[in-house]
Formats: sequence, structure tokens, C-alpha cells
Amino acid sequence: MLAMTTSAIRVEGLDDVLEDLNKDIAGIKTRTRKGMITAGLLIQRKAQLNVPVDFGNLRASAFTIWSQGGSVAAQFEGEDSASMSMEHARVVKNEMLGIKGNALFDLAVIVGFSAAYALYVHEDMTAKHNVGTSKFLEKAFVENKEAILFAIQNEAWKDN
Amino acid sequence: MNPVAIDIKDILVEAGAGVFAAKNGWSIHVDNEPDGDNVPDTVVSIWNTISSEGKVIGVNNPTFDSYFQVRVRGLDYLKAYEKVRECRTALDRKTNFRKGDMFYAGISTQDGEPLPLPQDKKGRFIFVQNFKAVRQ
Repeated sequence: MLAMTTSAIRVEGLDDVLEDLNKDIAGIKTRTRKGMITAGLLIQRKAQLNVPVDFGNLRASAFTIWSQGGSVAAQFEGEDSASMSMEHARVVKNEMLGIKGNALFDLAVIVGFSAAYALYVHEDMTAKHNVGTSKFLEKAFVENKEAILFAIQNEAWKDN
Repeated sequence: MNPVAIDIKDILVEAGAGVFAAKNGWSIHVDNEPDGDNVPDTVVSIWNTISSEGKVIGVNNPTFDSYFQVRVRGLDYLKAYEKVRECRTALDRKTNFRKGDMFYAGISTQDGEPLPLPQDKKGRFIFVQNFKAVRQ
């Protein structure tokens, strides 16, 4: 399962986007945790590139976690760096608790942004950005579907 | 092939959700939420978000997954909410119809309840709802 989260508000699903993707992933019978993590990190990287450039701390708040670990390092800047660091730690911890030790989520990878305003930036189509775009995470899923599936499949082949 | 938001605009106008570029009442717009003296506070805007080629059903007949967002702006919280629900009702699970040169297999919402966004600079309430259309 791949899921997306923005802060405490889950946009799990995005919904058809992930449903379609999860069906295709389920079709890769020999998928491995390594492949899922590679795919998750790919989505995170692509989504970060899509984040509007005037939201540096939002970009920094990206994380990818899986049942036994995660890529969660974040360095925030400016006046709200302390509060964003605390919020980041809280969101990541909550997401970790959700999948850790749960057999159902053994191969699950969660990609998200911890910034409290992530969802609003994501959904505000009227905002004008010189570089970057709203729907930054959704676009990372939809526009990189083939690369995501290839990453999962490629790791499976390497292990066989 | 129209951008999906153009077709959705027509559907919402036909459903009575508003009038395209109206100067008063509910004014419907595409990929734009106008503001100013001659524009009402009550605006429904439809935004093309993402589009991708979907599964191929037959030779030369690819389907397209076209994502769009309906955004409602209004001075009154409840009226804005009711309008976004009205748009949702007009669009969600609408299946098997033709619009322009496209055949629509179906439209569905992507998320649950309409999402409230922060009020704009003029204190107007904003609700958004995301949809996906599968068309051919």
C-alpha cells in the first residue's frame, strides 16, 4: 500500500489515484519492501520538486516511512523552525505508530508532508507560483506511475 | 478534445448550479476565480488539475483519467457549502454520457466531504471538492 498524508488530515486515497496504483502494485507478485521504499522515496523526491519554491519549509517537511524505518530528516529555517520541527516529529511518530508492527502494513510505505498548511497549499488552485505547483503530491503519483511501478519491479528482479 | 473543466462547466450550467461568467448570482468560471467590482462574491470555478492517459480499452481508443476540482466561494458559509454539495450531486456517479466529442464513462468524487479552505482576504468562505472523470 502506498498512502499519502498531509499533516493530521489524511488524504488517503487521493483516492482513485492510489487505488489504481495499488492494484498495479499488487499485480507485482514478487514485490519487496526494498522496492516499495525505493518507490516511496522516488515519489517524495518528485513531490518535493513540485512544491512551490516560496514554501521552503513545506518542501523540507516531506517524509517517507515504512513499517521498520523511514526517511524523516527535516531541516527547517526561519522563525517557525522550532514549531515546525516539533510538528514534524509528532506527525511522523503518529504515522509510524499506525503501521509499525501491523502485519497488514508489512509492505506499506507512507509519503507525506508534516507542515500544517500542506493540505491548503496542495488544494489551492488559485495561488500563483513562479516555480512549483499546487497538487504537488498528487502530481508526483499520477505523472510518475510508470517509474513507480518500474522501481518496485526492478528491485524484485534484483532479488530473484 | 475539450479540457475536462469546459465540459464540467456546461454540465453545471445545465444543472442550474449557476450561469457562465454571470455578473450576479452564482457565476461559473473555468480555471479562473475572478475578483473585482463587477464580479459577484458567489463564484463556482472549475479547475483542470491533472490528466493522464489511462487504460487502453481498444485499439486507437485510449481512455483519459482527467482530474478536476470544483471550488466554491461565497460570503455565507452555509450557502457556499450547500452550493458545493449541489455541484457534487450534479456530478458524482454521473455515467455513460457524451459531451462534445468525448464519451464519459463516469465521474466520481475523489474524497469524502468538501474540504473547507481558509477564508480569502475579503473574508469569503471557500470549499473545494476533487473529482476524476474517465473519458474516451
